[in-house]
Amino acid sequence: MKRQVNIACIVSDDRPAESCVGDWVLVHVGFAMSRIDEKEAAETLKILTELGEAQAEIEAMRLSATEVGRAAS
Amino acid sequence: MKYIDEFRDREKAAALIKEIEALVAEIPMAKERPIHIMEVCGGHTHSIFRYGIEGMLPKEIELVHGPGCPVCVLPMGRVDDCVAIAERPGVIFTTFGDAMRVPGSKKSLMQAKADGADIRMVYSPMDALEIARKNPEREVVFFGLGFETTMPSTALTVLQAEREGIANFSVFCNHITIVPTLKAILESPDLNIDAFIGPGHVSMVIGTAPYEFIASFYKKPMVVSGFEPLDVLQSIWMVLKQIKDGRAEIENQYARVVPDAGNSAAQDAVEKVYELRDFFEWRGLGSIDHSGVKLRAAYARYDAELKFALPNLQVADPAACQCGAVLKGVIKPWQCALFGTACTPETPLGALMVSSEGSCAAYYQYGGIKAQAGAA
Repeated sequence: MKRQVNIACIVSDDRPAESCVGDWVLVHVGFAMSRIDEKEAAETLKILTELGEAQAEIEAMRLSATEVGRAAS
Repeated sequence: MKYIDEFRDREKAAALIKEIEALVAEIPMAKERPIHIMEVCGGHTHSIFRYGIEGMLPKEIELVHGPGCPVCVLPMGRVDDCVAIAERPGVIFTTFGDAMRVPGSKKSLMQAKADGADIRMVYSPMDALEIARKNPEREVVFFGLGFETTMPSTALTVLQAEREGIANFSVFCNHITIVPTLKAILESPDLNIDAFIGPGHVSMVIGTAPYEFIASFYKKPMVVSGFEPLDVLQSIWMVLKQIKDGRAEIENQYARVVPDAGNSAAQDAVEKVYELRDFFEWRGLGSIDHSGVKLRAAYARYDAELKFALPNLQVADPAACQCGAVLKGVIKPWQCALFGTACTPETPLGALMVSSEGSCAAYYQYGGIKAQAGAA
């Protein structure tokens, strides 16, 4: 789909219109309101990935502790 | 799509839910009563129902669906005003699609259109301006609706009309502002909320600083959140961490879109074009001081309220409607006697049944039957 979008809110003297090309933006009612910050997006996902990994480790430790327990008894 | 699919990952959601469960177990208050978290924004309400997030959460957490659906809180009298403008000869009335079915005291815009009024759905206020350019002999009115998210786009369109000298364009301004509304909720004597999920797209415009009073004065935590399921879950997790630590802060989960300072170009346009009204009437919540904006005197010729004589009558909601109590989290949608019987998404009586972002409509579409069965 192709649509005209107003970019007045995401350009400024230090971020001219040409610098938008290739950027992902959030468009609301035909106006680009924010450039998506790639670093922040990656940071949020990193926290969530680490959360999953930490849980997997705890789970693995719990399981191996049970195994050791069984072996000892 | 990029920045969307990653935030819908099932494994990460499962990990977050485990963390949430672990946190809840460490919060003593949760053993005595549920923790009430209000999502202010209708977009969040929609996500929560669409992805079944309530069902994933431990039973100690109750989500309260807030007032942040601009269509839902539009009073009947304002809809009557829209219909009155739209039915004037020579007028083309333009609106976002979701306002079409909001009931007025006599009819909705949809019904007025069926009766012959020239009412057109637009995607952007710029589309309304384009209609004005193409129809110089007609008066084109745009129905400006929404919180700070849409406020700048209407303002920029008015500024564009001024630059081009387009005289047959005007705005029926019903924009509303979030902070006075949050204050009204926080001041409510039957307040029953422990923390807030803050609106993502309003905040991308106004930033996070305007919410500071919620933490500093009312001592309630708030996390500004994105709209994908992982965003909402992570925000709930962050809110719970604050409760567990005894902190009350304004945190930003949606930093990929929301800079802490907001969007200065959008803020400038808003400041230039609008001023606060003394009060604004909300469906379900009543009148809230300084909660709406109107065009400044410098833009009076673009103000449909001044251009056209409006009935401007206050029309009370049907007496049996309990939208206010639902909005404040005092009752659940299905506890209202009208829910799903007299009031349905096809023939809404109350505000919250109107838009897909309204909590009653969301319960009706996605979870009503289960919620009622669970309660019985």
